[in-house]
Amino acid sequence: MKSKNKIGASFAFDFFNVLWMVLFALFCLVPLVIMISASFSSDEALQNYGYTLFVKDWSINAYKVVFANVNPLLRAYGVSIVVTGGGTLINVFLTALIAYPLSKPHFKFKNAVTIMLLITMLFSPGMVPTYILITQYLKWKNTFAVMIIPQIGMTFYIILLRTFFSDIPKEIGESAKMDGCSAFREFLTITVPLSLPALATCSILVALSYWNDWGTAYLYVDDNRMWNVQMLMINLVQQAQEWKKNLGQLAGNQSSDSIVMATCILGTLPIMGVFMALQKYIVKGMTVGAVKG
Amino acid sequence: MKRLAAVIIAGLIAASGVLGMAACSGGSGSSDTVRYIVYTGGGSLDGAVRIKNKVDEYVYEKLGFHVELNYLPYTEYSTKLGLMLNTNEYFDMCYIGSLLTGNPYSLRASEGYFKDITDDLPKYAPDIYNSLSADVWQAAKVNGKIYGVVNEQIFARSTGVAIDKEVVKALRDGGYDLSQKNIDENGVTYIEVINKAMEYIKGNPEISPNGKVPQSTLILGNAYDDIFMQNYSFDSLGTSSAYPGVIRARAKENVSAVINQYETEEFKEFVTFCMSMHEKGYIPDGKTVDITENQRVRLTGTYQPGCESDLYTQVGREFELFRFGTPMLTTNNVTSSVTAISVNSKNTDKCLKLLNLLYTDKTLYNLLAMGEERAEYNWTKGEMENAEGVMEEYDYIEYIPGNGYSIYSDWAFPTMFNAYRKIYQPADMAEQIRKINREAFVSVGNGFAFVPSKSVAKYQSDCGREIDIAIKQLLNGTFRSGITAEEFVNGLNEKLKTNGLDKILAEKQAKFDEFLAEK
Amino acid sequence: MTKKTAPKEKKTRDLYAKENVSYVLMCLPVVIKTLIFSILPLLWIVMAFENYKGFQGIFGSEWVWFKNFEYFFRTEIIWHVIRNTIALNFLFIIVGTPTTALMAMLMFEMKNRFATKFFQTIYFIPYLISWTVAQYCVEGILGSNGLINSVLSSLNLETIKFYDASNAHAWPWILLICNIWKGQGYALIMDYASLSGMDTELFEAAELDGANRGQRMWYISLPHLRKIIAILLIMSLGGIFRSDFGLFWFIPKNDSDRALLETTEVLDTYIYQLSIRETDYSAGTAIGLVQSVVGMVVLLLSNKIVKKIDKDSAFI
Repeated sequence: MKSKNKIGASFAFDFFNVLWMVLFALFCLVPLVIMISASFSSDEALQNYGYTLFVKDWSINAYKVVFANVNPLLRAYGVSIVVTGGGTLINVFLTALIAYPLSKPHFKFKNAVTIMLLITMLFSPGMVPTYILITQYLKWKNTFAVMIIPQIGMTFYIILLRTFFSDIPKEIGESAKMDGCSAFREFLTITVPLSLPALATCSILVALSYWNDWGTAYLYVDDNRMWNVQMLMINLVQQAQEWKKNLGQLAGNQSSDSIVMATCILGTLPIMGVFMALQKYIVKGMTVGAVKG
Repeated sequence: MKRLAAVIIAGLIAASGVLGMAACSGGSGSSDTVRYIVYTGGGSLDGAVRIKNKVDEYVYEKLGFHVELNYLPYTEYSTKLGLMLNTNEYFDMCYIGSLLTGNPYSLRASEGYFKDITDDLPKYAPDIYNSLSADVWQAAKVNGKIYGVVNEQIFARSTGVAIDKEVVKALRDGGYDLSQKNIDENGVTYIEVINKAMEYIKGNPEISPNGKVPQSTLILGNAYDDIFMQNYSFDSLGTSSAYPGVIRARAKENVSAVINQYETEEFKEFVTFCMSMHEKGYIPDGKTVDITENQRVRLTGTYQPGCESDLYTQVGREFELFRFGTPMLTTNNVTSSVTAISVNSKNTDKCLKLLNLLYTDKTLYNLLAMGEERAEYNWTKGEMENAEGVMEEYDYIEYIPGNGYSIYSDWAFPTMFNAYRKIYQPADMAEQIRKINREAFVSVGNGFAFVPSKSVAKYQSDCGREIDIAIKQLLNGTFRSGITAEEFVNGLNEKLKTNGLDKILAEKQAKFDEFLAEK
Repeated sequence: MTKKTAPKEKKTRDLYAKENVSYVLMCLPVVIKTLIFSILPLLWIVMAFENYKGFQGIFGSEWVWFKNFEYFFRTEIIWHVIRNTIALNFLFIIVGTPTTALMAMLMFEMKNRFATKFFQTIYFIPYLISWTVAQYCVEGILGSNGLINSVLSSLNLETIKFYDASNAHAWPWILLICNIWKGQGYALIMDYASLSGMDTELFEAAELDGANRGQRMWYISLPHLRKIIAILLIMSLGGIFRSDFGLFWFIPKNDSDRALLETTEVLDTYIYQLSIRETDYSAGTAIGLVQSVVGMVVLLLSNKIVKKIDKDSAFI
């Protein structure tokens, strides 16, 4: 009798638990569903019914408008992919490279470097000097360098990797050292393979910040052939709103809201794909955090 | 800790090395290329490279130096120009205006970011200098010196409302005669005109296309500037019109008294009007409502002969225009579009020569402002009633839809009267506008631009913030429902008082009195 | 004995010295980049004490010392903005921390690995969306013809104008929900990871003793989470003067409408506003400096506390 009750209670617990999880999942997804449904809705439907969860009147006009000028779109994807791919590789490699010595207790300059990193986290120099540096000294306007390099070595990721590295049992490193293995080789052959989850976590977060970065392109890219997806998106959105305001004639009869939503979706999908590919690592890697339980 | 110190010191040494270089070089510019920052009104710039090269070629042929155009869209213009000025990035000249948020002409000029061209202007750009009146150059002066070339357009602004011809006709048939004469002489106000038109539109939904929501016809957008400031003839003395402290330019007595415009009866009237527009449901509310298609009544920022043409290209319908108030010259109105030369520029003479060429050369102007024939526009034939009431055939240009170069900023160049004729523009449009400019009423504050001291500037921007919030609420209809105009006005004024209103008014008055005494 | 260890110690020292060289080399790329991009530009902080003008540079501009700070703290608005910043951060911490912990524990109770993965993935998706895009999502729900108002009007109820100034008081809660929506997936994983590192024997023992699931969560999972909760809490207290810029700039439409500034303007957006809209970089830098100094003091304090709880988790 007792055990039956218990099983019942346990079942109820599971049931409500799963129910809650599903509800929260819906909460997470509803805005996205709205975005997708609005992008496929026709002008009339959006005006008459407003935003709905399900498409009332299908139309792919918005995508037609966005794809009408397919070359800039492809080029922007190309730029974003190069920046995100190349940037993430370089960035994560260099971040790991500096995190490794910082995880060693006997590294002489450990505190000095850490303090320097902390200063950068606390004090931001502001836009003026950075702009002067990039445009006048480095002359990096409209280059891949400006989109990649300033983001390298973010303190947060260095600390994240440092904590993970210091968790790797010392003995593994010691034995390698006895075999005359150099620090760099130890890093490459032992630390990196053992830290794949942390590196993957880092990669997805870094890739995300590269992909979603519009500020850099906004300030330093004025050649529209070097626009990334975010920049193109912002421009399309602005154009769509402009059409809505006073240039209706030029836009034909597209509903600008569905165009906005369609651009947003096109700008978000690829990074979601990357996340799906890497997500099996992410929980493991996050164990790290800056913190361990 | 010692090592930390070492690292920091090393960093500082490296830094000061680079800085030393910074102090010496201070940006670089070539002496035979004029770098010109061009304002664009937001359109396609896909063909910009082609136009850039053509302009460069043309200028080189005529004047013997190169020009490099840098287009900055209006959405980011002020931000980026501010950054360029603050980081000392090299450029020769740029568009700037009295109403450019964050970078008003008079403020930046008084801070010394632009070159004093009082002497060079008549020498290198004689055509511009001689054809604009002394009042215009007076307005462009900051502390007695000219820092920018005024771009000719309609200086004597007055506002108006454009109403769909069908609506005007229907009202006339219904016994309400809406005519400019009526407005000018019988004391009919904007409130009555707009109300009548809107009432008709709301009552006759069939005139809206596709039977869509009829109320989406009027956008208040810039109503604060367009209706309030201009209609009641307030002059904000060279600062953004939102900042507190204006004079009643047409008052019979006490003209030079700086008052808080938000405490006036006129402001209350304006607030009541805006609120009633929302309460009656005349203002578009939904995000997806397509405003253009339903537009039947529209405030025209600037009333000027020929602006029916722009409306036609934008909305695709014919409008009739009604003007409120009479044209007035103020510092803000005149300097709303200026081309200024950077203080770092080594090419003052070349810049002015280029502007002068733009002023005199139709081909160059149209290439820059419109693009190329057959790529951006085509010549077409149309018919129009002339001054004598006879139908007349004329040539006009028509934009090619989806072209690669549409910058919508023809007024940001030395004279927009160089532009080729467009549909519905009278043949003598330039003459008409120049006449309005010449005959306009000149405000006593013309030529005075209030540049606040640093501490008052802070109060001013804080007040501006409160005003911005309040006015946006008023125009977008996001004010607290149930609030009365009285409460709204009092609430705003209370906020202004806690944010240093009195200090702003006092300083503005003091500096204005100083200006008048010198004059 | 001593004779034998001495060479070994020396050997280790030599090894360490040699390693230190490689360590320095490994640090170099990021250190150089940081020096150039983050440390060197810090000199421009002197702008806060100047009436900075671009063409005069930081050496040529007029020194006004503490005038910029004075102008700024004399106005009413700044106190209002500081109040918003602190209050909103507190709200996020107070609601967010227990919610995250509870969700993590519930998820941990769900033994099906596929299901946990599945839900974690879904919860993480909003984190991938930039705030610019999220702005349109939120508008699709709260806007005048957004989801909520579509439903209301189809039920013939009065619609709600969420973006109205009259509804400004609701916005702290809306922002809270947005923050949870976007950040929960990320925060959850931290707590969950900590739980999965827990000794399973404890759980089995509790089951044998007849504890039910609720008791198990309360008596075993929660105490286990105590430490990480404390640490995360202190870390977020360290950032009490800062905020997620995009959330406060885009979601309440402070970039365009600005009707909701009353309850949604925070220091970060205020500084951005000063620099970008009013191009008053001196004032912006001055406030930023105050923010940084306060942030540093709070962070150092919380770092000390973290050190007491768990030495390894401390920054320095």
